[in-house]
Amino acid sequence: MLEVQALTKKFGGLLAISDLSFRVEKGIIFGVIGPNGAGKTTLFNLISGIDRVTSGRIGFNGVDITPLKTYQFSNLGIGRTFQNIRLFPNMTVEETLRVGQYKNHTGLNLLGIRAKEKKLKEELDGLLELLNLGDKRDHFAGELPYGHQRLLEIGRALAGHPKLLLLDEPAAGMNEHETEILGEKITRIKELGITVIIIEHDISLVLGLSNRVMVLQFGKKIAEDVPHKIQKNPFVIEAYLGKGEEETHYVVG
Amino acid sequence: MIQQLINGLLLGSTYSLIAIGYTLVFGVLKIMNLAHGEMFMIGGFLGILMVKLWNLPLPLALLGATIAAGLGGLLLDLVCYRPVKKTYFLAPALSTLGFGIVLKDLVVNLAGSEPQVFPAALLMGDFKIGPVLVSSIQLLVLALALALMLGLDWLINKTELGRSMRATAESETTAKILGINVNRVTILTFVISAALAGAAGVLIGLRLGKISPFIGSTIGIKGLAIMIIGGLGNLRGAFVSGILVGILELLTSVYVGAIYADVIAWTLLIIVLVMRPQGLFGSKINVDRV
Repeated sequence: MLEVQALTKKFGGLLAISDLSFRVEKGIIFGVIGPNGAGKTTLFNLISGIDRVTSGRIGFNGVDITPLKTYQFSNLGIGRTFQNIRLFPNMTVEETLRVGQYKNHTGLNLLGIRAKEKKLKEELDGLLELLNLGDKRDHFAGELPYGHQRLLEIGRALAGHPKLLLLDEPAAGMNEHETEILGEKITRIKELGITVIIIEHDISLVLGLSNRVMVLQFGKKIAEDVPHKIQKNPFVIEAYLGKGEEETHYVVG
Repeated sequence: MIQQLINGLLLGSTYSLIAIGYTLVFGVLKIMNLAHGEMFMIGGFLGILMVKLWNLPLPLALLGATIAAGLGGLLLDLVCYRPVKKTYFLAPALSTLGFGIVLKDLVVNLAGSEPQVFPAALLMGDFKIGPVLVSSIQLLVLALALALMLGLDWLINKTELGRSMRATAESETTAKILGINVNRVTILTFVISAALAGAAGVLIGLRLGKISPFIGSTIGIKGLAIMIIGGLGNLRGAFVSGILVGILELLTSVYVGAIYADVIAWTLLIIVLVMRPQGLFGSKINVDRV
């Protein structure tokens, strides 16, 4: 599904990602953890086409995607959410999901698209149900409670039929109950056959959900394994898990 | 009085069309398109020439001028917007200003600096509705202006293109992540905006009976003031303010003196900027662009 080889990203003199290689198999949930500034969001920005790689290759289903334009990443089947939620505050929930469906119907809606329109409507209803946002369809995105905004952003990404979904700290700012619901939703998404890569500071959530976990520090991979082994890796405990609980999580873009 | 209100409404509806073109580009791309007035002039000019030189019927001339101005918008995007560094916010505004000046000089050199006059045959008869005298041209202008504005409203709110324009307006990066080809949206924004200006040019030409090559810097630039009065990037605000300015101008020219009419838009602009800088109907700019 995703094959990252010798990936490097420099911002001026700063080495954000350094010679990073890993593979993500189809249909799994792949967790990425690491302290702030480890390069996790930069990694997502490279995989989703927001930033250009300095060197290295990102293979998606066998195709090198690094030379593509940003909007083409979505058309290939890569969807994402953002650490700092990026909804369109002046659009309703329904309109937000319609924008997410963008690539599924290009051009103006004129003739002969009735059947397709019906299918899109059905998909939209399905998404609203999956995310428990059915009674919010006409609410403005900017007016939703925080937890719902996070779900809506996931829904917007799902509306584009991603094969790979990148979730950047989806549980940030959620309470325990909301996090639990989120975990169920992510499992449902995996069951739909969508591969998920998740960056998350909530360590129990990420270890509980993921099939494999990668640990980043200073842009380098320091460990990658199944969750219960990651938990016991001494390097990981020292670098991240040991001080994870009390730490204030400053958000780094 | 009612007569003046109606006349003002008619004048205002063409102002609205011009202001909406500015607003569309500003709302989606966050730039002042300072060539917009010239697109409006080109539309009016071509409309008249098509009728005069080729004897085209008015609807065809209107369509032709609208399409030609739309192509002008395409050129504007390719020459003045896409190659220019957007990180310096003044750069696209200045390049469009230059584009406008080139257009104006081109027209003056090719056709002379005298206004082009609509053939009298086109200026159809007047009729009365109750005590109010209305000309057929005025009715046509109003109906077309309204139809264009309703069409635009539908486009922005109900179509996929409209949604992708609004997504681009809120954040280009996020729009791209959702698979929206922002370059395509940008082109279409310029084309639609310029096409509206072109149509407005023909409509104003019908009203005035003539179009001067310099009208872009008089009436055209007034649209910019009207956009700011209504609220930057606010389409409905631009529409209502256009009508408002039209009516106030008419009342001023009747009850105060015609030479003061042109003062209205600018005076209103200053008052709004001092008292209510976000515009009468509020600005819709998204400040937290990433």
